[in-house]
Amino acid sequence: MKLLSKYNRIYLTASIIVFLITGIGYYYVVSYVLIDQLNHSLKEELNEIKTYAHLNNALLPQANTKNQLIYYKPTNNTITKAKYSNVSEYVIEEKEIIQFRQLKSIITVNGHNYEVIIREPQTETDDLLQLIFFITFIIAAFFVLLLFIINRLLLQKIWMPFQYTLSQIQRFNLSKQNEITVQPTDITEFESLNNAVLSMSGKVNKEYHSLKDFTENASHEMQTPLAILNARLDLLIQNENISEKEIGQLQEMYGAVNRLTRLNKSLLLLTKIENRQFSESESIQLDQLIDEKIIQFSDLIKARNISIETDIQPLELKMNHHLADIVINNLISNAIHHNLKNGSITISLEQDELMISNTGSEVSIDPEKVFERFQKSRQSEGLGLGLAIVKQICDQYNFIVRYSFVDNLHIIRLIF
Amino acid sequence: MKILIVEDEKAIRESIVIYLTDERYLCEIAIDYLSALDKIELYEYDCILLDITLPDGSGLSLLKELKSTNRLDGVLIISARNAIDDRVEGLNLGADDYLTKPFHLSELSARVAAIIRRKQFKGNKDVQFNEINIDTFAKTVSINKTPIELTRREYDLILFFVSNKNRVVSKNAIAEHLWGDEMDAVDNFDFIYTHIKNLRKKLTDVGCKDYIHSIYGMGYKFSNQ
Repeated sequence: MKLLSKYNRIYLTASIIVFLITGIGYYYVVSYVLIDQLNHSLKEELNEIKTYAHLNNALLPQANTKNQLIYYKPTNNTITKAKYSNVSEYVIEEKEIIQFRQLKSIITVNGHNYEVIIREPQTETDDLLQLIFFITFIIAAFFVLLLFIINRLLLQKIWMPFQYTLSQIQRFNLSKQNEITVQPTDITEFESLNNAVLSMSGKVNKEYHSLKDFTENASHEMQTPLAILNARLDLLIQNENISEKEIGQLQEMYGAVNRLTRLNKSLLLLTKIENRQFSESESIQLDQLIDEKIIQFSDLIKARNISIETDIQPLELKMNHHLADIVINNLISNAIHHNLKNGSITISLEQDELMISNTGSEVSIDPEKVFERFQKSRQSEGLGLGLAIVKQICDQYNFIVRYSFVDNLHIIRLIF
Repeated sequence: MKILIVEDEKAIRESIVIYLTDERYLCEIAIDYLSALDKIELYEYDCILLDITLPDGSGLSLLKELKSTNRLDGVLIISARNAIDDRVEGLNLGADDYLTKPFHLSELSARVAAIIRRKQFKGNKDVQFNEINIDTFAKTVSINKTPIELTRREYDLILFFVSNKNRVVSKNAIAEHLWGDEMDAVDNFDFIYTHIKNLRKKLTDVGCKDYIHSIYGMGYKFSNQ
């Protein structure tokens, strides 16, 4: 649940409870005041009757109106305590039951006791109460609605720096080297969040870069000893007195230097791609590039008696030329190396997909892991970096690359 | 032919000197930026082998220095950095070629020969080895004035051999020279044999002596013996 909804839910519930309680309280207070006023008016009338009786020794004549009714009833009761109560009575004129406030008291005129009942209708009081309640309800509803809207707008505005920082963190990608930026805010909590995020991303970036620099420097440093080995081997083989056995050993050393050199170059290439050192892009005719690569590998393809089937539509891509070359090179090279003798390769290029499939035996790697570094099947003589490099390049251009093994076919799909 | 080798790594420097001296080049060495600067101010060279990363400066500034005085010395950059930017910058500054470490001495020698040909003879100098004549401008080969039809790889191969005559050239070096270092050299060993067989046949068919000697398990030697 979003913080705003959660907050609004709590806030609304609390507001409604508060308004309900205050509304009820208000109702009772107002009705108490109004009843008190009625009581007062009834008491005044009673006083008037009492005064009249005292002065004239007679009962005040009944002048019953819609707003006041007075009844006299002879009684033997002598209790003089005035008693207020509510009564309901059907009033013919109004054709409805009306609530009255009534005051009962006993007065003595000429030695006779009379029960005096004064009634005043509560209709107006009720009407007034209803009106007050209605107005209160309207105000409360309006108030809640207003606060709800203000909160929504205000909270959204207040949380904006937070939302911005959050989106930056979500977008953050070490290898893409996008720096985190924050919006200035005067809210302390958000400011400390921003500071923490900035300092953390800064530290992470720094560590990442120093690691990358290390890899790059280490790779470069390795080139020199490799160059020495290569040069010394080139001189050693000039010696005319080398035995066949030694020649075999020298050839192995050449092989090892060659392998180490290629490994080093591949690692360096991976680091450089990660470091976005191939950012310049140009228009690449992928179909032409594929044709060129097939020609380049033609010796190898012929030697293994592999048949190639192509269905290549013209396709132009915005890409770094060097990287495009590496992707196609690695994919075709793999399709040849992991093929069977007399096998086949199928290459199809459409507007949004490149598919390269080749016959081959099942490999011992989890298909999910083929794009990881140094993942290779036991029988492979490669470095185990070719597909990792392809993946890295595809990531840079947001291409999707998938591998599957179906019906003895290794299938690589590149979706642009 | 005078060559200056600017390289701070002793073992590499020495190897280059030994290999190129055997090719009858006159080799001088400079082990750092300052001594290299001294040398190029005093003498002219047919080719300068320039390491970019020197202990006391960049080979690229040495190159700038050289080009600012309109010198015609050929320059071959040898660098441990194979960054494309370095390559492009080096070539833009007027270097003739760029070679990334590690390299084969035979490759280095072939490149030096090509630079000298281009510089001194504007590419028109034919390469002559006994009865073999290679026109590097037209990329044609003739034996005793009889032109022979060679494929691109066969042409590359014979020029590479002649540039490294009397030397054992390893299969690795040949593979890298013909197919580039992007491809695994081992993949191409079998094709070297095929190409050499074809080349040898084309040469001997027109009466050329068979100069290509196979060194068992190692490579080939192109020589008169």
